[in-house]
Amino acid sequence: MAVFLLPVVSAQSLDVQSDSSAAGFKRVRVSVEIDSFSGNGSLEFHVRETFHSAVIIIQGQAGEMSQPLVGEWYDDCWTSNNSGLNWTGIHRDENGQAHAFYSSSQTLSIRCDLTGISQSKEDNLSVRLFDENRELDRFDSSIIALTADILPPPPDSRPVIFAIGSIALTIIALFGYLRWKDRKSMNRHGLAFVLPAFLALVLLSFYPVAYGMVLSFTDAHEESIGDEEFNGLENYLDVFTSGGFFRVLFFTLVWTFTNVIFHVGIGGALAMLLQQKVRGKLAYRTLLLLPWAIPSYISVLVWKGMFHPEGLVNVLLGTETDFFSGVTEAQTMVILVNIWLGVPFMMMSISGALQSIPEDLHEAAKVEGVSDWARLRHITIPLLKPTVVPLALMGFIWTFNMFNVIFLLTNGGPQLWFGEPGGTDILITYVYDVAFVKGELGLAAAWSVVIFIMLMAFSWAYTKGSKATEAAV
Amino acid sequence: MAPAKSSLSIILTLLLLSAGCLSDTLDDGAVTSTEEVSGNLVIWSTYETDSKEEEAFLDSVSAWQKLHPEVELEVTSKPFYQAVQAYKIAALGGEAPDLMRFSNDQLGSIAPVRDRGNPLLEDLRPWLTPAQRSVWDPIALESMRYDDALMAIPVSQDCVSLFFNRALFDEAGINYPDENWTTADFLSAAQEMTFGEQVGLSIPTKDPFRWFSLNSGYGGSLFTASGEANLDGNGSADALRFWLDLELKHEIVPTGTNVETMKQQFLSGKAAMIIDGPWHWPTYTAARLDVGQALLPIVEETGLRMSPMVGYKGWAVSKQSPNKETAISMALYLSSTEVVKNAALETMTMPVLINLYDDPDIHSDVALRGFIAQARIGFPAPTSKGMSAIYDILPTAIENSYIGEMSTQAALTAANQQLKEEMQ
Repeated sequence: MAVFLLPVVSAQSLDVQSDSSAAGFKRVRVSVEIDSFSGNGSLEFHVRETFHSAVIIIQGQAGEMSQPLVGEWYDDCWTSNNSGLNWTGIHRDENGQAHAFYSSSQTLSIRCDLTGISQSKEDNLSVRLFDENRELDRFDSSIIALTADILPPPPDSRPVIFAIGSIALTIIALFGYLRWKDRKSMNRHGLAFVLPAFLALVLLSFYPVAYGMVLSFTDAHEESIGDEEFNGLENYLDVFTSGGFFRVLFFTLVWTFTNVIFHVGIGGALAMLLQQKVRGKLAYRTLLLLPWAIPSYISVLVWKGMFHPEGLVNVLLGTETDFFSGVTEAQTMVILVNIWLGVPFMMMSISGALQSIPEDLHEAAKVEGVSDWARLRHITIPLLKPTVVPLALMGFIWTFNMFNVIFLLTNGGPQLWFGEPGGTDILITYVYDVAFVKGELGLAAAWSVVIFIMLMAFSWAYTKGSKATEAAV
Repeated sequence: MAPAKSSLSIILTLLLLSAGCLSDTLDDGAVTSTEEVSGNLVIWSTYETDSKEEEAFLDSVSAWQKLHPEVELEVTSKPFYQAVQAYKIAALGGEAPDLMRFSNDQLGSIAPVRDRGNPLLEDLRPWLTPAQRSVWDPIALESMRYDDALMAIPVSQDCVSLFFNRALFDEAGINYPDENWTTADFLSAAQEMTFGEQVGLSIPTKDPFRWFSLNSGYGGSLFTASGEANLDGNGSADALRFWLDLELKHEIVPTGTNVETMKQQFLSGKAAMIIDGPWHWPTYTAARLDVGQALLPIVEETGLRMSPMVGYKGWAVSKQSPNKETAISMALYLSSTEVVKNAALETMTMPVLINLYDDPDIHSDVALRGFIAQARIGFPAPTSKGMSAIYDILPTAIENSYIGEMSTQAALTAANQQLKEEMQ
């Protein structure tokens, strides 16, 4: 650290010394010795020919004025009655004005860390000593602040890049080995085709999940980012013992199952209806696709407006009901809006699957005198299964993690529980609050891992139970 | 095959070695900032889009740009309510704007955040001389501090007061609100003007910000003098009961009113009175409403005047900014007498510069004078983590009281307990 000392200048009653590095960034420490001063007066500092600050010198006691801690005030000042051997913080009045008190006529030392000093060029410093009426002495020099501004280091991406690089290399090496091992096979080029997609999957999906898992075992908090420490299973204990965990889990399941059942049910029914010979089929199809075509956040905000006590729904009903005030009402509303949003996708997907069922089968069944209901049960539904089972699984995962509908419609409210999830919070919306409102990143990661495990378990059980994979083959 | 394999292994080795070396200058990160007013300056403002406030701000920025053509400016508008989140994410990714406007309660949320031990905002204490600081109202300056650090340069203050539609008062033959009005007068006037589609009063009953003023009128305070949580203190439960009853019992406030519907009801001439801030005043006057402003009434039961919480806004500089000198130069310009006075007269933004408090031009504007009078009897919003937490906790207490799940006293006691826990 460079120290920049200006020459000591002696005057009849004023000695001034400045230190450009002792006080820190944008500051210069100026020490003043006043010989044989008596009575009351003031010491003024002027920088760049402009008044900077003043210390009022008073013979007497501090009285009720307070002596701030170092750093508590902006520009710290000290005083000493024994030539700088013992420094005491200077007293301040309620407006922050500095006051130096002394008891008898003697050498009085005053030291101030002047703020707002330029670092790139020298400034004029003028120290002026006044008694109550006139200037007694003056010292002029130049000062410059030399302590550099320390910028925080840029985000350290090395660990992430190292991890991603290692993962990428491992996969490339693995694929290289498989390709080499498979060298006699006709399909060995297949691995090369799969590699980019697999690499993207690992880097964009698996790696963040793995990173989240690591984070979930730390005490990561927004007030100490980068200084996380391993805290074992503490976050998981917090998750399972936190008030409202089972309540929010229960509503998440209700939300998910209700939505998926209605999405598939209504979507499937509409798809079958549109499969019939209906006049204006194209118009119906277009209309039914609208919820999907409009950006979901716009749809949600429109619904929010319509369900407002002064919104369209209340105007039509002639009521002033607040549909979002009670927990059950608000839960019903969010589910209804999400059903409306999700049906078109299911309708389109099932419609596509219906069109792939050979018409011959239905015609043959008709010739055999099979009823409509029996055709539905024994031809349509079994042939739809390979499409509907994975669709429903996908719908389950999407709905389980559907964030924007609840966030925009109710923001998790009504909020009736202190420090717990709101009435319409599902796991994913609550995780957002834990991470970005409360700043508890480690805990939020633990919640996310719990969600991930639940979805993994459900997907495995569902796939196994429904034999979806086999059906699709 | 052998050359191909050896080439592959060389590539793999190179890739492995390069994986940890893709980022430069990461060793200690110590970089010296320049002091010249130059370089690029990224500014995020939080004014309402297309508002008069934003227009005045952009004009000021253009004027500064003319003085400093060598500086390249990039000004972006961010939604006020998402400012904290947007800034945190950008700063943690190393992409913080050089300069951003925050309210003091937002500062209370950002100031404690640390990235590898570093704060996200620059402590401005060393940057200003005592003489420079002395131009601002000490309360405003104090509101920009978190712990000891000065987190922003104050630029404006605001608080709510009573707005009324003169035409509706004239129609009803009721005298305009004045400084002697009590809550009884207020209630009776509102009841008299509630009929058909018209309402006497429109306020977002579930919004804690506007309730704070009634709470102080009942003798309540959010924190004790020593800074401890005090949501269930003296009179707060009565204040909340009175507040909710305006909608639930007296039915002078429409069900489910939020800030936006309050604004629309007043704009469409359906609401006789609202409790709102000067930031919406230009919108109302532009709509040719004959709008009046008055001090919030005196609470009949206590004899205390409702005193609103005064929020302060200021310009904060990013700790990461390599152009702090330029950023601070811009911030000082935006809080200079000329710019602030102009903004005050054009947009009703209340100044925090001491020399403008008694400025004749500002005093000649009746509404602005009224807002300043209201702010002077308000209480400053604390800049603390607790204050930020209040906005998350109080709505739960209000909601529980609103639906009758808890008494106002029980709800506020539970909220106070939660606030204490969060402050720890």
